[in-house]
Amino acid sequence: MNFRILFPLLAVSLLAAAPGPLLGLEVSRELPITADQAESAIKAAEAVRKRAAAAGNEWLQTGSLLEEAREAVSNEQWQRALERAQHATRQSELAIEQAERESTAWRERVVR
Amino acid sequence: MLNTLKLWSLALWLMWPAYAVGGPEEDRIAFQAYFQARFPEVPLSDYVNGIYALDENARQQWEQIEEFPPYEFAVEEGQLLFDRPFGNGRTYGDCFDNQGIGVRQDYPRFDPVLGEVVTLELAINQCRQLNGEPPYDYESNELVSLSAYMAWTSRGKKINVVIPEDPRALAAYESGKQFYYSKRGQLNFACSDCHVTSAGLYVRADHLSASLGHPSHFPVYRSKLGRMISLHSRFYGCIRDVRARPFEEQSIEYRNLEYFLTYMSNGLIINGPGARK
Repeated sequence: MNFRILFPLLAVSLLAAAPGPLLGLEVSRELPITADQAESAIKAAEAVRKRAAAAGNEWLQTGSLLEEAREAVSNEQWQRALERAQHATRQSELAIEQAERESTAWRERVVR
Repeated sequence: MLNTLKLWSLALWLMWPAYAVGGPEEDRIAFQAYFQARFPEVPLSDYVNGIYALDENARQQWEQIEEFPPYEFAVEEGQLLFDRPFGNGRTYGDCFDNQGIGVRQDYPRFDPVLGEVVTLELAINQCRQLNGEPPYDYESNELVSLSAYMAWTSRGKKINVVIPEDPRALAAYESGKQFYYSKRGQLNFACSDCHVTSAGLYVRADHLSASLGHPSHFPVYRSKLGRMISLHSRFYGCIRDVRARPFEEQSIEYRNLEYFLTYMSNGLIINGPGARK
């Protein structure tokens, strides 16, 4: 048996089978997020947040999520920035839906 | 065609009670009757004691606290501030009916000139500005102490919030009522969910108070904070707790909410300032 060939082959096989994070590598099956995508997502999130605020129903965490997104942009963490912005957007969309629903639904709760 | 119209008319007539909104006085009578039916063992007059009307164990602790009331310092400071003349020689008393003594029960009131609801705290700051003094921050010790002193001088007076024959006043009341009954925030809670529907039930380790009587005892000394807080500060905390972004103290939203909420307690007495956990 040629150990000079076998050991390197074994080592290469183990490395190939090991999960990326174990090796400290980022595993990404999609294209990396760009700065433009992250910044656009923040801009969109801010616009929806303003609509929720105009409806008098901004949620508590939305502002913090946007701050985290901006901080991530300043640290060039585009993926993190995108995720935070999308989370903020979804919160604001739900807040707007809630405000629209409550514009009439509140009457059902009035003590009579 | 005539039959169709008749059917629509009948349908609308049948639907009307579900959507009709009563006037303020009908609302107040129904609101007070709700709690009296829900807690028949609690006298109406006891609701001014907040949760201590519903929670006997907590009441015993509170009564012991009241033997050495933690809000006394605020009342004393408030009196000193109240009596101290402004730079122009005038005083707070010159801005209020009855020289500002025993007037808490008449606030909030609708100001026809401003076209908005004016709370006692806002009126104090209006008075300062009218006399060339800078307004206090609404969370400041000074303003809360002045409010505490004015509540103290009003103890025993019946709450008498008036909604004048002015469509703007009624709109302000309705706005406060809508705020009170609207679900908001990530937890999807209305004020009424906790303080009407769930009054007397547990929220974590504490019981929820009834809204009836809420405005009678503010400002209050909150033991957990170690300081006096205003009613609007309590509003701020509640809105934050349901994970909605709170409004600023003395915002139009909170003033209208106070207008509605205090009107619901008309006829109960002022017993502020108070002490709470």
